[in-house]
Amino acid sequence: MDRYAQGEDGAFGQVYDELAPRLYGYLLRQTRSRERAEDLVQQTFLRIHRARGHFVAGSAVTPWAFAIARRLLIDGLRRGRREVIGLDEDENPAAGLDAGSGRGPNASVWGASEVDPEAWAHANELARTLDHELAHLPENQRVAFELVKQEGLSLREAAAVLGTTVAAVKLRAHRAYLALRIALGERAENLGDPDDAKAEPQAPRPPTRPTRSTPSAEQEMPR
Amino acid sequence: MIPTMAHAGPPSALRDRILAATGQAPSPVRVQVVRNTRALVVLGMALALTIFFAIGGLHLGHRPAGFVAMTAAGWATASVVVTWIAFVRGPSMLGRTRRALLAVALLTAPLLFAWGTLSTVPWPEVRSLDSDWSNYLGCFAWTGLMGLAPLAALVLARRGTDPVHPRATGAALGAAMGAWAGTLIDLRCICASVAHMAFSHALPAILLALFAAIVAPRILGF
Repeated sequence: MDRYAQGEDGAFGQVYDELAPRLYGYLLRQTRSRERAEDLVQQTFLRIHRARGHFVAGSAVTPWAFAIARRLLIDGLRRGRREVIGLDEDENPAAGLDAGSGRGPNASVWGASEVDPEAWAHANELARTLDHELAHLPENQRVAFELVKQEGLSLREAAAVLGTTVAAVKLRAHRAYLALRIALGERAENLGDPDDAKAEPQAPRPPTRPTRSTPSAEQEMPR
Repeated sequence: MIPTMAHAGPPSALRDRILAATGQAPSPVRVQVVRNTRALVVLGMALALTIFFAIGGLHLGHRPAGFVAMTAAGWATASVVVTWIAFVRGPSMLGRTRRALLAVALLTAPLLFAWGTLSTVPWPEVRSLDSDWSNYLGCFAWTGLMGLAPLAALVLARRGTDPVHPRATGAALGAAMGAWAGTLIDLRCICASVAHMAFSHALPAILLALFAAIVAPRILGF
């Protein structure tokens, strides 16, 4: 991002490649609509492009990008473009899983073409249940949980994105975690308590079923 | 680890579309932004100083020079600090915390007033230097006007950069520019009564903060 802010236009592709999958995943979860998520990703990057000259050298671009995306999402909702809660097959974020790979869902991310159907079905059901329970949490708890646990933002970064304090983010994420634990029962063993989250930036944690959109932990965060 | 509904990444067509859109709409790079910001800041300061000198510039009246120097030095120091907090983002693109910005917005005027009052302690006789309400209103208006010019400049310099708390940023900028305006008006206003200082020199900082909190989000936000 630094190079892009200095005028190296070619670096924008790299910024996009680093940020777009995470932003898209986040926005898809928020909107439950591919079309809207794509629209918001596009708007977010256009805003980043427009404000690139203001980019503070050495600062983290990820929280900034998430904050812009969140702002655009909220503005969109305020304008009456309400998110679609019910998912049909076409709008199901899972429907496009590994689209085009010609293999079973998540075959590529599990590193094998042979996927245990039973394990896949179990993981799929658990993921659906988690998404369902997340959707029923208060908005502030859900967003805090998603930013910290699903997007891999540090507590400090999530607090900056949400315009609140680290303690508030920690509390909200912890409450979400407790609610999910109660809802999911013993299946929630792998959730991980947000209290364990670090205040400093960290690489996004790969989900049980890692997605193509999740950068690997080794990838350096765009700056 | 968290099991979540997985999804494919964004379509490649989206990448092409965004890259094409950004290619067609050039945006200012850092060097240009820094240059524009400097130009706007200088313009804002020049406008404020033009007003200051147009209404007479430095004028001690019956006030001791030491009192004027002490008040102005304290107010100028406070102005520098609050401007730094309000305008300079620090190491994060998301700027200062809302708490810091609100502290600037809410505490600047009381701080100025407290310093102004404290400055009268070595020279208690200046507290009797009062005037009628027309002078109160005149000072109040000039202070507001001198704060408005640099406020507009700074808000424009920071336009479209605050996705999290543009209202708080605007309020902090308003208070900071109110502090500078208060400093300038104090250099020429012959009244030093506590009531005059509170109403005509410090209160405009609160009103500028309120004004900016209302207007700035449209400009500062995304």
